[in-house]
Amino acid sequence: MRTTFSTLTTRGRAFVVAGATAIVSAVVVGLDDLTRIGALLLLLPVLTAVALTRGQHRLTLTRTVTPHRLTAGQTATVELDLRNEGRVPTGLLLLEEQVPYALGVRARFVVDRMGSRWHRTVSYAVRSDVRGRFTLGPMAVRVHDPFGLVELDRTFTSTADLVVTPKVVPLPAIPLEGVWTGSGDNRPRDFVGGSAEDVTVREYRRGDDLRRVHWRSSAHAGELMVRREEQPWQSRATLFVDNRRHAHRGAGLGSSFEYAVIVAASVGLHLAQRGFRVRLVTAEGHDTDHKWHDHAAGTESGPLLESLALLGTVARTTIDTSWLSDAHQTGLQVAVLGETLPVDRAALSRMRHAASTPLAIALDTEQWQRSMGVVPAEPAALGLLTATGWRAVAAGPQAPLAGVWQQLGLLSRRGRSGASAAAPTIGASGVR
Amino acid sequence: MGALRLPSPAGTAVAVIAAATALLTLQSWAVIAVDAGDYLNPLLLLAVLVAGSGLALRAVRVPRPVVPLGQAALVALLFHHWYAGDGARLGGWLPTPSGIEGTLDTLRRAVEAANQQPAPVPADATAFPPLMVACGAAVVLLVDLFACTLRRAPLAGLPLLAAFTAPVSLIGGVPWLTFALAATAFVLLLTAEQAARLGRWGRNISGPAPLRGGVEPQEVRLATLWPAASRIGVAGVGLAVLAPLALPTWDGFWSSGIGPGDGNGDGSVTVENPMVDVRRDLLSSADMPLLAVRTDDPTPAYLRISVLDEFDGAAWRPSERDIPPTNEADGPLPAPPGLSETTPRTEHDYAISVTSVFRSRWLPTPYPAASVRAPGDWRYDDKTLDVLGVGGTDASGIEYRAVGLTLDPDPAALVNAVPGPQSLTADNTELPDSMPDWIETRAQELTAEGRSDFEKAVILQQWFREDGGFTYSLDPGSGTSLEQLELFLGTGEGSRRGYCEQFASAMAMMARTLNIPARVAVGFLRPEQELDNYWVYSTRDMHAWPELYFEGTGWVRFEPTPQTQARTVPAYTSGQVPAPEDLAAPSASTSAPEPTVTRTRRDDLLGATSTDEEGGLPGWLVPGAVVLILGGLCCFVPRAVREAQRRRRYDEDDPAEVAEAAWDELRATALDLGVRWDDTATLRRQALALVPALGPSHGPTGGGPDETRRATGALESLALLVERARYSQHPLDEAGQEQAQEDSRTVTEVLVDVADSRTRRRARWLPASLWRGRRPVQRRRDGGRGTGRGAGQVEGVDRVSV
Repeated sequence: MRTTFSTLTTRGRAFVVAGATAIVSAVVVGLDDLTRIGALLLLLPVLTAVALTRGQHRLTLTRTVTPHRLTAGQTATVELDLRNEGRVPTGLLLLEEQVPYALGVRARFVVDRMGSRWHRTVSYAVRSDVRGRFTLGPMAVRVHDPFGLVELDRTFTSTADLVVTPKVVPLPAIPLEGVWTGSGDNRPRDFVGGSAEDVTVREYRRGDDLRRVHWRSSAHAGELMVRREEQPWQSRATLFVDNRRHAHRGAGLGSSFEYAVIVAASVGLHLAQRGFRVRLVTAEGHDTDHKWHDHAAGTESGPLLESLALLGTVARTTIDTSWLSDAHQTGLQVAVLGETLPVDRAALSRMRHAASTPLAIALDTEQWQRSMGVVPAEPAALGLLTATGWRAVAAGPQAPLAGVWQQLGLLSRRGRSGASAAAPTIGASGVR
Repeated sequence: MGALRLPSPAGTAVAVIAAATALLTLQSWAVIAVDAGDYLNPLLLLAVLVAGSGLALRAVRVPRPVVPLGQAALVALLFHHWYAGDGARLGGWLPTPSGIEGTLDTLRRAVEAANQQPAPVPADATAFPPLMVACGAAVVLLVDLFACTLRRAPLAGLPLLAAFTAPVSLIGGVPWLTFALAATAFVLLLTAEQAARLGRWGRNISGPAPLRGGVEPQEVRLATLWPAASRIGVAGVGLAVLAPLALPTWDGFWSSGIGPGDGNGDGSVTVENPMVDVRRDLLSSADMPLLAVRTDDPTPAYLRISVLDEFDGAAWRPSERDIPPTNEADGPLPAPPGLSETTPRTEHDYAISVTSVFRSRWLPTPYPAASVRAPGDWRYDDKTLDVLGVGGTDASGIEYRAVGLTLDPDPAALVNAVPGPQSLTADNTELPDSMPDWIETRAQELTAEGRSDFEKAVILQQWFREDGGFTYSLDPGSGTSLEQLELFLGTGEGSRRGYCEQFASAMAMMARTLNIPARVAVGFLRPEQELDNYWVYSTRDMHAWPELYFEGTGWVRFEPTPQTQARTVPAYTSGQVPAPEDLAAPSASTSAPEPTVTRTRRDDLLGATSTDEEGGLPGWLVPGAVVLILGGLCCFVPRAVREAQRRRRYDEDDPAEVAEAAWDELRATALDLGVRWDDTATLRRQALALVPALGPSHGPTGGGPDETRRATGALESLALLVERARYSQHPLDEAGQEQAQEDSRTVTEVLVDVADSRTRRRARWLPASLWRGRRPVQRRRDGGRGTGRGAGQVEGVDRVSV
């Protein structure tokens, strides 16, 4: 009874109280018609609550989000598959999907009649300009009666995650020395001196050298098998994003940090498409990319973009370079830097020396702070970078990323770094 | 102002239903006037106008507050058209100052008419309907404002309630059918408003998905809500109509107003106050004949309609009459109370025919009457000898016969009358507590010289007629409330003016202060002779007079109304009043000047009556006790059924069913305690869901961690045993069966122990498992399917039970 009463809405409670009052006064004064009114007011919510709480039905919900990962500014479709597995419900169902504020309005649906085998798929669209991981759901179910006197609140438990990755700008192909110069890491290598267990075999194809026939496997398989003596070694690139809070200016979507993330995402995707295995490193050190040496994984850009989607600023002052202690060389190194301080010189220098090809895009953070349209001066970081041997260009909020990237390519072709060469070109590309 | 937007179907439905609800509720006003069509028909037009204009104004999106103002302006214009009278131009469609003045005048006259006419208002009161139309228009406007403009349908119940209680308080009742129709309409209004409200919530996805490019309907249709709503609504309205049978009202203690007698007993009858008719009829312009009497009485006079024997401070009114069906007025009546055989009397025959305009529920008869023979369901009251029509019988147009007694009491017998029976005296000397003392003092001062009760009464009559300086006037309004009587008896402005109503009730009240049983009779004063033996009583002859009780003669008529209206006084009061034979005893106590003495006496009387009532068991006590005992026994039924069920489950003989029975018992206990139980889940899931209900696993409260751990273990073991019993190739052996029962006992005990006392009480007395129904059967034979169902749950499917 107490639970029945607790399901009543304010309106329902008002009805109960008014009805009870009317009945008491009717009994005292002796007016039958008032008794009737009171009884009606009292009975309506009670009967409704009883009818509604008795109607036990079960709803199932399957939520599908396509695509699961979404670039900022794109639209994803959430498909809800609703099914009634129980009896015919007595009330109306109001369904409300909890959708984060950034993704748009909450999806709301009404079901006013529902058969015992009711099944329906509905969909709604979500869209976000903000990168990050969002949770869709759980869906709240509110059961209403036809009078608005009773309300039951239930909630599904399942939720779906939606990752909104940063915007990506297509970049032009530039000669990347790391690929061509023979730093070993970037060239397919012969399989030498491996043990028997390491041998992988394939069927004999016409043209294979007979010396490569692996007789033991051939005997086993009943046909000629040859040794695969080469193993593809992928080209590696390390993407460094400076995510220290003090290195950036501005807030929200218009901050230099968001721009840095977009630059990193664009470069990362570009490199991945060109066959590089890209790992992400931040000021906090090694990222969670453990698949560096996993040969099975292809050049999948997904994890990288996902990491970038979740990347936030940190409050540290120095750049952690402990990841450089790896025995391996880093190969191609692309650094996206904000404001640099003299303290960072050592770290940048270490990074540069570990890399075969050190490329850097230094954001002119001053421009995010100042009003628009001010002619950019050369950022201080550029000097530091060139001094430590990076091939670096500067970029401002207005600069098209493709142009900046091409500029970096020009520097690489020249085989030398130099701010003097870079600065005017950026100015030109800024004008387009 | 904005763009035109067609009103949504739901919004239109709300507006139409709101108007219909208001109209159906206003149908209850049909009982207020004889010719209710005079105001109900205009109201129909008004309701259509209000609903239509509201829809139109909302469609053109005028600001919210403007909608009711526009509607009210339209209604006012229509009023101007109808009621402007002579000052109107262009048929009253153009408001002019004189037209507005005329309209207000019409309304003012209507209010006046309402104040003068008691309900039901007769058909000839043409000034009255505009008032009802105005009130009805206000109700219609308010209902539309709340339900449509403000979108708060429940609030519309307030004006509806006000409209409905008006006839209830005026007339005392409304036909149940009117209530049922209005209530159903209100329920429908709630539903329509809810449909409109929910339609704004979101997309309606009940139907099949729309074709590509199609749009889902936004609104919730009333038609889909109505089946569910009507089930609840009709049940609610039906029960509400029957509710008065289940909830008897306490009429005995709280006599309420003008004739609140209700039909709760077989014999009792609704009574109405005939007093209010008197002034209306005296005032009425036409002197209409009401009764034609053929009689052998040479001087027929007072013909009584009814007796008002209760005075509660607000008015004199008839007491509750409890008349058994055997009291048919179709023959001799019982002897008049207090009339002794020795009192001289003469009998006269009356053949009375009533004209069609006289609609009275009381039959005019001479008092006292020896017999009455009337066609139809007329019954007499034992105590007062009133004759009442039962079940809506009224007197218009009927003819009946009566034998009246003309008494000629001897003043000496009246003077020497002993006090009457205590119950009669107590009832008829009762006065409201708010009686000011000065009235009693005044009465005692006036009658200080009276040596007997009768002499005092004669002195009072003389005071009212001549000595007190009273003037007969119809100017004071109708009413016999204490305030009005104080004004009437006082000496200030507007005092000592009145007509028969005030004279009669004031004298009866003063007589009561002197402890003389008194009451007020309403009827006809004197007829006019048309032919030999043929007399006509007409509206102007309506009259009221007091009757005082003297043992041996019974109720004796007095005539305090001045000569201008009532020319003569009864013969026995006109002569010299003789001295009582035994002067010492009665007058010593009755005429004692100190009020305290009389008070004491009255208290004694009251005390006496209360002891009188204690004589036997009250009639309701025995059935009441039976109902109580039966109700008490009924409380034990669920508990007993549940306990029998538990015993049966643990006594299960069939080895295949033992584990299932133990599990059933566990389920029932969980349900009793309000623990959630999902019948469609697998055994293991059910067991897992139960674990939290066994108490905190690490905590100081509950049955202690030990208990909880033990119960959790038992639960696990039981679940495995039931699984084995269901799905294993080999049924449980005896040890397993015992173990299952033991486990079930352990778990249920702990479940009960851990629950709070309130839940435990509810589980014991109102076990919910009794009406949750049986568990869907899942037995060994279809065990394969059972497992399949459990394992086949789709990953990622989310479930909610509502």
